Amino acid sequence: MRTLLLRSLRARAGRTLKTSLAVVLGVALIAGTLIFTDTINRTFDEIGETSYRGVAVVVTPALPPGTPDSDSDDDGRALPRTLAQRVADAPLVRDARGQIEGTALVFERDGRTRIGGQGPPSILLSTLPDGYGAISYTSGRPPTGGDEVAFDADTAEKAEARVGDTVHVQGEGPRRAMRLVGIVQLGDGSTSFGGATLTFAAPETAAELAGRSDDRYYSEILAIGQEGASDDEVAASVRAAVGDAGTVRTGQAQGDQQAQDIKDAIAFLPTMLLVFAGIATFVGSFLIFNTFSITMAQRQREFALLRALGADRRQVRVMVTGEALTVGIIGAVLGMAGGFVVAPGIRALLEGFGADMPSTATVFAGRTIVVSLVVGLLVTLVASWAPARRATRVAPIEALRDAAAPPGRGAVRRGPVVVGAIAGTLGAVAVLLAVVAGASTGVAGIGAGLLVLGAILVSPALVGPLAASLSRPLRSLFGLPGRLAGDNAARQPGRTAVTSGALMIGLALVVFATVFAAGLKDTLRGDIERVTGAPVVIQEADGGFSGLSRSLVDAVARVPGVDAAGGVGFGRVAVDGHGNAPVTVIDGRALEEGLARLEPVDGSDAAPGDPGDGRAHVTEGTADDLDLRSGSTVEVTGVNGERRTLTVVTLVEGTASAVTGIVLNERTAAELGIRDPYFVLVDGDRDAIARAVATDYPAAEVLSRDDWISDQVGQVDQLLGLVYALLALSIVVALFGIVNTLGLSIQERTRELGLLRAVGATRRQVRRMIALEAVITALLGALLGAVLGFVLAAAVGTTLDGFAVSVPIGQIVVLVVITTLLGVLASLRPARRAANVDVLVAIGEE
Amino acid sequence: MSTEIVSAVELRKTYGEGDTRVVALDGLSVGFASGGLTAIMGPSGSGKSTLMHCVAGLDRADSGTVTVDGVDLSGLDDRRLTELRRDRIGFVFQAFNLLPVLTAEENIVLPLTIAGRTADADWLEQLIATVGLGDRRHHRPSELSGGQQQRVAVARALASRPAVVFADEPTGNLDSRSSEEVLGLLRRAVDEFGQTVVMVTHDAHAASFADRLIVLKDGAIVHDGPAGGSDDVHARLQAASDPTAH
Repeated sequence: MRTLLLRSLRARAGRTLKTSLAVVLGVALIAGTLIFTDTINRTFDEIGETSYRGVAVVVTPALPPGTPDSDSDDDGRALPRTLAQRVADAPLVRDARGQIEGTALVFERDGRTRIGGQGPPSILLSTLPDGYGAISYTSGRPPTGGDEVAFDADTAEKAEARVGDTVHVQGEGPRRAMRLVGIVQLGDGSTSFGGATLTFAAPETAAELAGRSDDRYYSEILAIGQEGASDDEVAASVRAAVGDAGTVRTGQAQGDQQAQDIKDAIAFLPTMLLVFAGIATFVGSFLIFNTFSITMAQRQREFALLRALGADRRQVRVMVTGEALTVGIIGAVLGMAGGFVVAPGIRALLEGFGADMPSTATVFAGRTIVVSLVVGLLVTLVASWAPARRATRVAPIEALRDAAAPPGRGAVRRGPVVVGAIAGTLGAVAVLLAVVAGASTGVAGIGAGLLVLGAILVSPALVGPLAASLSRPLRSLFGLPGRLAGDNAARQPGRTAVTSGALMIGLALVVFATVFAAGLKDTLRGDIERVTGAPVVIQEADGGFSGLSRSLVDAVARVPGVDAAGGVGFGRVAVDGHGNAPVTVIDGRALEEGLARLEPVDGSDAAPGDPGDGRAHVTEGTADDLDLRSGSTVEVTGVNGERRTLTVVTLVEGTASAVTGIVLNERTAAELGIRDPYFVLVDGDRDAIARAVATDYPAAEVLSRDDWISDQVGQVDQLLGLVYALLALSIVVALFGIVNTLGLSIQERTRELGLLRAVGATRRQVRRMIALEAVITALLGALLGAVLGFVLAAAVGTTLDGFAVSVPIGQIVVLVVITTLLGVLASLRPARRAANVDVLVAIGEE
Repeated sequence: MSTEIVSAVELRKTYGEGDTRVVALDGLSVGFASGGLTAIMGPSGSGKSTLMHCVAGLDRADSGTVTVDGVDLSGLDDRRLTELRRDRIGFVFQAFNLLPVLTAEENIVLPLTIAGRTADADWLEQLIATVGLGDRRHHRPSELSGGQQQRVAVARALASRPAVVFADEPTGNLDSRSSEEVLGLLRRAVDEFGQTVVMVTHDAHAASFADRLIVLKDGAIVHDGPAGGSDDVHARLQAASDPTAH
């Protein structure tokens, strides 16, 4: 049997390889994701390790348990300036220094264009003497004060600056012209921190840039131990010295912690990529199932002969399973190799979306090998299980029958269709329940799954009617080829359905994303329009991803002709007994002047104004969650560890995307560590404001209300683009499915094609017939997918609070048309092969 | 020669190289007059199928010329050749003559449909009546017996009123009763419609339906004359294949 297995694999080498392709793409994305993740994680580990090299102990601000995570480095988490001396004076400490970490935007030579942004941060660090960390100067010297700064080599290059040049840097205040005195490289020799800009300045300069005061001065204090003292001993000594003024960790622990924090922050990324890889693999399993089903059917006589000659079922099954295993292994190995191509691809893709990732040498972990092999093998074995079983069921007598009957019309098996119809109905009911009766998103999710399953199982029964309904138009449009294409597609409904099913899943997801994004945009636009009263809005030029300088609000307010200006920011607080709650910060004056508008829940006309210091408006949903009413109080902890008791003033309507959680004015928010404005709302003349802030705040974008809203809404399209790019892989796999199925069908129908050619069908007509068959298959998948995707997006959308479901009919039509055209593209090669069938060989074939 | 609807001059075709070289057609010349049923016989490898494929435009000879209905095939590209087959030649193969997805009637008019023409209704009715299909015209091939299928194939070959019908072992897969029906049908096509039919067969009984018998051996004609009855055919075959007879 082994010889036979090897022979039949060799005889069908081309087919084996093509079937493997179905696994290759999915596995390649999985392997690529793992390689990519392992590589960036190693890089972050190295950064964490090198940044505290030589440092025995690190003191960070003490935060009470339950303090929420902070998104900002201007959150008031800082140690008093005098604490550095106390640490230095502790026994076993040889030397201690404080370090300031903040944000410093760096501009290109023109002083206007920001370097980086939208993703990698712009980091400001105060200098440390030798022995702290692993930073060295490749040229120039460390900055010593005044206007002196140093850059990492990458940033210096992008700024086209050399040592001695004037450079443009902006901290919390206006942009400053500073002098570049040194260029830095990291400990391992790398010149870049993954697209982030690094600006070094002497502590006093850094404190100025970061807007620090003496009581909140250092981000952390680093200490070097005396000779012979272990890091733990030094830590114990420092802990005794600072008491509860700070948290004390060893340098090693702090480095690990820092690396872990970064890894946690980007952990969603590999998860997201793996989900898309999983989809591509799942779609690929359709292809494998179909290929095996068809080839097993074609080889019935071969198996029957084996059985007649005395092979038992187990032997036949072993042989077939052996073939499947080979396909799986080839697919997994090629996929792993593909991973090395995909990993840099992922990096490039993310870079294209503005999220650069640092990297060192590529990490190929054992885990990658194991996962790739397991996935490749498992998928192939599962997908080939049913076809293999069918192969063993062949009666030996089949071998003695006359030449295999020409493939006729395959029946639609009723059982699965019935099961599918039931599953689909249950799914629809669940989705409907979620929509109408407000059942949970979980119920909607289960319903969605059932709907997909139902669609897959029912689709064979839809092939016939679809082909029949297309038959007449196809015939009148294309004559006989159109007619035959319809019949051929309907001939093996199961096969056509599985082929189009793969496409259906891909397209359902694409349409889901499209519809969801369209809804999101409408929702966002509606929300923002309702809330925004200001005629002019200022944001960071990266679309408001990073915060603005705090001093900008005051600068704008001083512009002649500006009546009012106020910042809007976002953050979170911990609520006693309830975990974190989102915070929306709106400048009190902006509320009073109507630049930002809130709607009270009680329906009264008076828009809530400034809630006042120590007081808050609360959105309806959050009020329900926290059991709050007008007049009640709530205990919160800010990101800086400060505790406050807030009194609720008014319950206001929440908007999913603009105003959420607890609404505070800027003073209350600042006390809780939320200080960065993300948007500044202004009443004044746009051009005048733009001119006024252009020099001091070049990164700030001054927009009219409408332009700003369009810009915000347009960001959804960027995200949609990324999702499209990742789903494209699944569509490609599904298209391979069309190529493969058509190819096998053509092989099966060689004699028919020969006959058609013999009685006078031109090659063109044959090619057209195959292309139309592909169109029918693609159209079935596209239509089902579009309907499914739309229904699911609409269902999920309605379960979300305040989400406006919209119907982007034009986009859906375009997607269906594109998919159908891709079907034609997939048919090109099979169609050419069909047209080139040798008439003599075809009609002579037994 | 003006009455010859199909003529072949000096056809030569070889397969393989060196030791495995086989001469399929050895400078063979033959003509088929309009109207009349010709049977081509000969042992396996005598070149009868190759001859038919070459004169029917399915295959090309290494040298020599083939003229069908006044058209020299050697000058035609694939598209022109395909159109010639479609419009001027009818085919009946041994097996697998019909497209399984089409009904009997649709199969009959297939060459016309491919050409984008519709069948003359009277002619179609006459054909269907002649092949005795009657109420089975809307059945698919899988619902027809082997004999019925083959009769549909003959009707299809006649549908476009081609210059010539080539039948390659048309009764090869049929029982004797069905064979009789199919052969009778070909005979009637010649007698009633004035059709020209060339049939390759290895069945002496089938050949006895013909007006003219050609016997091939090693790529050359060894007998060409009237067919006569079944016994006469046997005698001529014997004579042709016995080397001592010459």
